[in-house]
Amino acid sequence: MPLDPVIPFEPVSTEQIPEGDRWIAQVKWDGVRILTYSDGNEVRLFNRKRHERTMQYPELSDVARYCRAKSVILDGEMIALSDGKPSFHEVMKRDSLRKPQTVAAMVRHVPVTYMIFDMLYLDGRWVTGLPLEERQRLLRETVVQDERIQLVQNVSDPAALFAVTHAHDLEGIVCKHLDSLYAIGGKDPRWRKKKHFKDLLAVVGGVTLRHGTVNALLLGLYDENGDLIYIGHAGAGKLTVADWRAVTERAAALATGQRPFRNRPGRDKDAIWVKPELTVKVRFMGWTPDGSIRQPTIQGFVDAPDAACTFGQTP
Amino acid sequence: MHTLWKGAISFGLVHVPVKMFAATEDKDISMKYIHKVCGTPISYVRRCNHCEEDVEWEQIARGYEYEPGKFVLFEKEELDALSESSKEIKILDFVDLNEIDPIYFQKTYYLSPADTGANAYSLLLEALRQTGKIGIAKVSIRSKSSLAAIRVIQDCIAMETIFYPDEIRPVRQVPNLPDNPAVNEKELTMAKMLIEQLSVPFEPEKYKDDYRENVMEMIQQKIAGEEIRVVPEQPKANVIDLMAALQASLEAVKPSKVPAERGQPADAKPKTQKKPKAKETVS
Repeated sequence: MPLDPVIPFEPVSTEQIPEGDRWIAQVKWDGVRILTYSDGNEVRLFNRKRHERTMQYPELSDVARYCRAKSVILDGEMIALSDGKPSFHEVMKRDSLRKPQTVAAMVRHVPVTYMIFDMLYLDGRWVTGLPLEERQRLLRETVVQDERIQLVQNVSDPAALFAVTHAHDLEGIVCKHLDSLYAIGGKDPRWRKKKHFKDLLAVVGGVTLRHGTVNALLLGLYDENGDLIYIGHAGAGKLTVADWRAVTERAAALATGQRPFRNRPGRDKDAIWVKPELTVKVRFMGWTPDGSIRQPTIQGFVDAPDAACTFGQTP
Repeated sequence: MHTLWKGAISFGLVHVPVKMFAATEDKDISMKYIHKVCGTPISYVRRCNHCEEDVEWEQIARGYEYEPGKFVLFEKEELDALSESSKEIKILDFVDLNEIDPIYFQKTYYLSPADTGANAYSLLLEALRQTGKIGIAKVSIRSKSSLAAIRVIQDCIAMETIFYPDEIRPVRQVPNLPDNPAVNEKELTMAKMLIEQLSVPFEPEKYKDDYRENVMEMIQQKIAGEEIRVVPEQPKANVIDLMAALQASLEAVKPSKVPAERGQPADAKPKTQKKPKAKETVS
């Protein structure tokens, strides 16, 4: 396929919501960033790390169904709903599929919606050099929306959208300048995100058990010296009983007598230490003065190396 | 095989650490209860008719009904505390196998040596084999205590749980057993001859569960004939509904500024496939 996957444009985090009538805000849909590449013959999907996800989302392979273009690159967020809201944990049930034979059943069980917010390429030419306003016009002209394909909408009042997303318990907003060009591989303040909570990747260094099943994970991050520092423990979150059973098995295989954390966790009496290999996405409200995370919930297990779980990781 | 229990066999001063495994498995074809009308599996709820609510396990205790409508309650922990040490299969006596009527046997488990117990295990196995005896033991598994027979099956020590004598109903309770059986000698000779003719060595492999095979075959036929019921899709929440709810909230926040400024894809209600957006929101 002539279209090589690219690294998509990323927003920076901001506390200040930008003002001015050339700024629009969009809901920050909580899912997996997916770019769709269609060269007219073939359609392939890649995530922002350029890992292929074509197999996981077969319902998007028929681009002609929802996009009137000979060739195109679309950028958006793949989401799955749980209790009426986008759930990272839910979409990971699709994103983490590795066996083709299990995909068909999961397409039925976990339907996804592709929330498209940008276009990089259209009918043989790159459109990344056009302003956002223009790219959005092209999106509206080419993409046919349905229940599974939606264009992310602009809202002219970012502060109002931020309040509304909070009321609806959504992740946050992304503010974009209407004149901004699309910077492949870039990350700069032309796009600014503001979230209602924080997320990070943490590595599991210990577990506690209840009736023989894991009921909480002891989480850590690596500091600049490479030492693993305990940052708190998290319980059920979005994980199901079946998830916990699976965790119990994986924890058993990683069990070690050695405490992997440099500091001593509060719950270390009941803890079973594990080799720091299992990584999770954890959502939390902020940091306590003693360096623990507040109200953490596990969003899901992620396919990331433990070395990615550092204090320095970008929020 | 999946370890059901870990503990030790003890007799006298000998202590044999073992792990326990189920020796038999139930191959009945399991079927779920399905609502005929729509094909959805029936779910069971634990419900309190007095409070008119569904009850979580945390809210549930066990109660013994000592007279109708009156209960004494127990927590699981209280019952667990009453059972004897659950880590031990304690052999009390050794007997000959043919002294135990098969009616006593309940369920069979295999025992294998735990990490450190290989020598003691082999010793017990060989001693049982050479004496031809089996051990009668007391064991508690999952807070229920049982009597058990410890015997050798091929090169493995096995444990058969056996009923306590008061759990076995006496034969005299069976109705209609003749008091003074009168048997015709000639007929008896015939019957014995017939038994002789049909006598063979026991070859369990030649007996099959015909019913199970028939059911399995019918399942395959129904699948092949597409005579199948699929669970109806739960009505899934729809992102369009969510976007409409967000839009309504936005309008409530800023009644004067909606709809859309600057003709963005924004601020207009999300559309379905039949109504391509491009036609409607071009600025």
